[in-house]
Order: sequence, then C-alpha cells, then structure tokens
Amino acid sequence: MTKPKTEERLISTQRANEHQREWFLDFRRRVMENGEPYVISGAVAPHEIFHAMEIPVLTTQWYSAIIAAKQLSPYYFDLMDRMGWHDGLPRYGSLPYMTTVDNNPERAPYGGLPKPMMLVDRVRGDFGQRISEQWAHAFGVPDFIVDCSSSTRLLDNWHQRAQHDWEELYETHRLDFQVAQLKDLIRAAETLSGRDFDHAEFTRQMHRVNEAGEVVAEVRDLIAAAHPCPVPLTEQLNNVMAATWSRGSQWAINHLSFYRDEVKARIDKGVGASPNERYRLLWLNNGLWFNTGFYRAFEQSHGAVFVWSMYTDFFSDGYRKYFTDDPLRALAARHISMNEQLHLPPWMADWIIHQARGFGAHGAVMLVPEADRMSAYGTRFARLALEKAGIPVLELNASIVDARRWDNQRMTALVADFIENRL
Amino acid sequence: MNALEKLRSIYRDREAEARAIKAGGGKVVGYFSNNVPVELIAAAGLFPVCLTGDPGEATEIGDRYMEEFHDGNIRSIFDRMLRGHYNFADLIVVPRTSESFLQLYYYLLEARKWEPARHFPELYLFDLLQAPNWTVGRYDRDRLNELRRTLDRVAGRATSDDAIRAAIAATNENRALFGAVNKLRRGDRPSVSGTDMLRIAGAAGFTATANHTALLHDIQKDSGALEPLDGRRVMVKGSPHDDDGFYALVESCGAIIVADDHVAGERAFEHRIADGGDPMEALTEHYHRHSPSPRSYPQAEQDRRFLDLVGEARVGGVIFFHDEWDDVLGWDYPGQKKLLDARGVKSLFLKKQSYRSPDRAAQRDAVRGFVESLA
Repeated sequence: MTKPKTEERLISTQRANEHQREWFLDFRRRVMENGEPYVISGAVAPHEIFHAMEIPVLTTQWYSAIIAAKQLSPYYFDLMDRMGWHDGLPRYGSLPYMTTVDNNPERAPYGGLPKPMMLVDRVRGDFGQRISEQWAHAFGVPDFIVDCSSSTRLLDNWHQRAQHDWEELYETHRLDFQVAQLKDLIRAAETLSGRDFDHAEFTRQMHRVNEAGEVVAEVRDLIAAAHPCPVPLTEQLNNVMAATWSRGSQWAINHLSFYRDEVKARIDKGVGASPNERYRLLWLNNGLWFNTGFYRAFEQSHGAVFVWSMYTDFFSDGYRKYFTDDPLRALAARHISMNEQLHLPPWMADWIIHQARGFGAHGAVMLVPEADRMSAYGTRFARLALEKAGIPVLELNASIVDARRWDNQRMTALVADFIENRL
Repeated sequence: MNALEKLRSIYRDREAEARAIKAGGGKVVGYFSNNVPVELIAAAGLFPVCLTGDPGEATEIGDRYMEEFHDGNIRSIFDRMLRGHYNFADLIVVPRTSESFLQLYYYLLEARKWEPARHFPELYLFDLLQAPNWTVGRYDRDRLNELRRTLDRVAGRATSDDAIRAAIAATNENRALFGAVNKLRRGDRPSVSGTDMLRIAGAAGFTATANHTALLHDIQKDSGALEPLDGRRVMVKGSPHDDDGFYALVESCGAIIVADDHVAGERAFEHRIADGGDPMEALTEHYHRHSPSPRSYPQAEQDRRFLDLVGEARVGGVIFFHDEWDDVLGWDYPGQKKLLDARGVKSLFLKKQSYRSPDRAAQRDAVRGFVESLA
C-alpha cells in the first residue's frame, strides 16, 4: 500500500473564510453606512424569517467564537468579573454582550456590534432571556423572546425521522405553537423594519436549505467511507458552518458542492489529513473555539485524526425539513428540538453511536463545558451509552471559550494517554 | 400542640398525610415547585403533595447518571425517585418552569431504560411557559386542559367547573390568611420568625388546603399571645430552600427574616386567582403570568417587585443566597445590588452554596458580620 499523500488547505476552506470576512464587511457597510436594520440572534432561532426579508442576522454564537479565536475572551471575562457576574455563569452566549458593556469598538472584533433593530432568542434554558433582556436594554431595542415548548416524549431514531417524519417526531401541539410564534415574529419584524416578508422567496430558501443539507450528507458519507480521512475536522467545520450561517442562499449550495467535489478529488488521489492515520476519533459536544489547533495535535504523534463532530453533520440531519405546502411549519420543525438533539439523552447518544459506526471511529473525546451546563447536560448518559456500544470515551472538562482556564499541557497528556491506553 | 407546632410538624414529616391518604385508598398526585395548578388536582378529588429533595440523604444512583452540576435538590429527587421513595404517588407532575426540572424529567425517562428493575410513578410533563404574550397564554390554556384530562383519567371521573371554582376559592382564602399571618413578621415587633414562615409556606404543599387554612386561622386568632421577637430586619433572596437550616442560622445571628424572595417562600402566596367566569381561563392567567419561577419574564418587573417588598417590609439588609451551580440568578445580582446600593440598603452575597454539604461555619461568620454591620 502506498503511503497516503498529505493534504494542503482546501480551496473551499479559503473561500469559506473569505465569505465570512466579506459577509461581515458587507454587513457593516449596509448597517453602519447605509443604516439598514439588522438583528442579533441566538443560533437556535429562525434566521430564515430575516433572510427572506433581506435583513442581516448576526449570530451570537458565531461572534462569540470569533472573540474566542482572536484571544479576546480573557479580557471580556475579566470585565465580567469586575462587573459582578460571577465565574460560574455561562460564558458561551455572554461574550458578545460583553463587547456592548465594554463599549470599545477598537477592541471588539470587526469594530463591535452596532445598534440592532431587535434581539431574538429562543429561550431553551433559563438564563438566555436574562442576557438578551439586559442586552436589548443596553441597546434600547426590543427583545423578542421565542418561548420554548418541550417534547413530552423522545422517539427513537430522531436523526432518521427528522427530515420527513417531523410532524410525528416533534408533536403536533408544539408545532402549532411554534408556527404561531413565527407569525408573531414575522409581524414584529415587518413592523420594525418596514419591509414585507416575501413568502415566495422564503419558500425558495426553505427548499435550498434542504438541497444544501443533501450535499452535506453526501460529503459526510464520502468522508466516513474514506480511509484515510481526507479533510481535517477544522476544515470540515469551516466549510459546513459558513454554509449553515448562510443557509437558504444559492451561495451555500454552490459552496458545498464545490467542497464536495474537492473532497471527492482528494479521496480519489488517496490524500489524507494525516499521513499515518491509525485512529479515527469523534469530537463530541461544542467546539474548542479558541484552540482549534488542538483537533490536529495528535496526528503526528499518534496517528489519531478527528473525523467527525456534531457540527459537521447537523446541517444534514438536523436542518433538513422536507415539506409540500407549508414551509412555515417546516421552519417550526427545524428549531423546535435542536437542543434535545444535541444535548439530551437519548437523542444525543443515539445519533453519535450511529455516526461512530458509519465513520469507523475507534473512540471519542467529549468536551464537557465548564460553567455552561446547558451545553453539558446529557454527557454522562452519552458516555455510558457509547461505552456500552463499545466506543471508549474521554471526557475533557473545559470552558468552551475561556482561554484562561485551558491547561494545554494537561489536556494534551489526557488525550495522549487515552489514545495510548484505551483505544 | 398549637397551630404553629402542627405546621412545623407537617413541614418536618412532609409526606405523612399523602402516605396516609394512599393507605386509606385515596389517590395522590405529587408535583414539584409552585408552578403546578394544585387546584385542578384537588378538584379532581386527588391529593396534591409537593415533593422535595432531602439535603441529608446520599445520592448514589443520582451520582451514577447525573453530571456534578445538577442542582442539589434535583439530584436528590432523581435519586429518591429511583429508590421508590415517591411510590405512594399515582402520578407525578413535573413543571417545565425551570431547566433543572425539565432535565429531571428527561433524565428520569432515560433512567427507566437503564434501571428497568426500579419502578417509580407515571410522570407527566406540564409544559407551562411564561413569556408574557397572547400566543404563550393560549398554549398554556391548552396545556392546562390537557392536564385536566390526565387528572380525570387518574381520578376515574370528569372534574366539573364548579369543583375547580371551589378549589380556586379555597386557594384564595388560604393566600389571604397566609398574607395576614405573614404580616406578623413584618410589624415593628415581629411575632413570627422567618424560619416559621418558611415552614408555614412549605407546609401548604404537604397538607390539604382546608387544613392549612384552618391552622393559619388559628395562628391569626391567637396572635395576641405570641411573644415579640428581636432582631435586625433582613430579607433572604435567591435560590429556594428545601429545609430550614439556613433560615435558622440567619435568625440565630441576631436577625429576623421579615421577607423573602424566592420560589419556595412568600412570593408563591402573593397573587389571588381571579374568581367567577371560566375557571380554566383564571388558572391559565394565574400560572402563566403570576406564578413566580426562574423563567418569569421580564426580569425588570421582578426587580420592581423585589424593591417594593424591600420597602414594604422595611428591610435593613438583603442576603443573596445562590445555589452552588446557579447559572441564572447570578445574571440579576449586579443590577439588583446596584438598586439596593442606590437606596442605602446593605447586602451580602453568598454564592455557590452547597445543597448537600453547606459550610455552616462560613455562612455563620458571613451572616454574623453582616447582621452586626446593620446596627
């Protein structure tokens, strides 16, 4: 067998990063120079409503990850400490709010966030509404809360039923309620922006999200079957997440198609992310946004490659919702149980086990976020379920965004020991 | 035993009445927190009992399945459930008014698969939402109707609107009397301690409303005989308390708790349910908009009520008490402290307080120093 060739950065990755940069520059031009309205929103909220109205959406979690990647989180967390918010409070969703509290555009990434038209959040936990209420108050704009109904039962195989069988999966009374809330949101957005909600464009975008999700599924299957893994996890994330934030656009479909073709070409040439792949690992739970290099730290030393994470595949399994005549109900289905799918036993574990088998994973490293328990619920049951299924799991307790708390040496040693002794 | 002693006894032996009713052939519905419409349970001819955790018990099963950051009371309840502690209940209603209870519901569903030999009662998720708008209110009304149908199934008969009206009237009478007794700790010379008021509030969840009301009436009737109490006037605010340990500690440091602001205290008795008209609409309005929970929104309105209470009770100092894993109330604290500072009201912040093993010595030192500073 010939030694696999090592990879260079994908062109699609460069394009994805470029797209994000351009998106933000365009966003600032439209908002700052032209005075167009925009919305600050949590990730698990119906951005599609605003996309159909050509109102830019700034995703809190995306900006949070940018702050962390620019190594600015220590500054803002020190600010939180000084302001009296104790260090046990959730950090992931609060970083962007701190840039407003700080009110220093020179320091904030891309010059900080200007005054939005409104804030929107789907309040799954109990603290998100507190942050958005204070933040909206600081800006002097409305805070639109999408309340969060809860599943009364969690049926098996959500990841196989979520695309077509969502009426049964998510419960009719919950979907009715979510549709009513979406209509409220549309009216609020129309009133505040002075723009109309374009039904036809919305329907087209909803179809395009499904189409883009199909390409993500295609790439996932290609990567799962390929040995060695052709694309490092960091690049998988860059490409899929850029498309996720621009979902519903033709750009997302074109970009993902180009990405798929590049991946295919690599597989055909036998190119691998790591020249000596021996172990395939899953990265579970949230990303390590301030240190994405960690995903690749074990390729040279141990031949261990991270091949999958929940965010490389969620566009495919979680976002796609096929519909015939009611795109708004399909949109309701998209966000109604995102947290349950990512963080609740048994849905979290069922999906991961399915993926682990598809990817031929030898083990999994699971980030258990500190001071952010909304992202850490379900990890114990998930670990037990994976290990029962024969997949060893290493739990890393760490903050998702607070670089001050990360002990790289210790974490590296833990993963190295896991690879050497448990796989 | 006088009325106050009886209420203390009910608070201590919380499940005695429920177990006796079950043993006598009655049916019992357990529930958590103050966000479950007990009026519907009582109107169905079922006995409602509030279920709590116990800080003194080990949680071996909970430790196996739950991450360390679950609230102490949730871990305790989970463990008790799997040990069969609540098996006297025919149904257990879990409200969605905090993420912790919602997680408890899902963890229990999952635990049934992992521990098939352990049996515990049927669970019912009461998906009450509290964003204050019309759409959410309609959703809540449907949830109350669904709960009513479930209770009818457990009871084996349909509940009449008149029975619900009667249960609402009983609740309102109880709250009015609670308010009257609560005034006894608010006066210039308080005659009921904050610790006893916590017990009285808690006891309402462990005994029949009529009995609780009768005991409140007796306290009020005999209030002239109560001894006046001395102490610096403080409020306890923040996380709820499953036992009276912290309250007793505070009042042993020269303070009297003349008010509290948490979901297991006087706030639950504040609002009357509308009487007359459609009783389901009245219950919907009450639980949607006036039943305090960690998800009450907006917080600015909650803060206004908090400040009103500080003024009304002439509170000299506020003790913020937050659970070990709190990720909610801490967001409010800096703003609330600022509001108190502006009014010249001192405050003490006890954060990250353990449910299972509270550091009583440290609490005592902090509270004693704070109470002395109020002189």
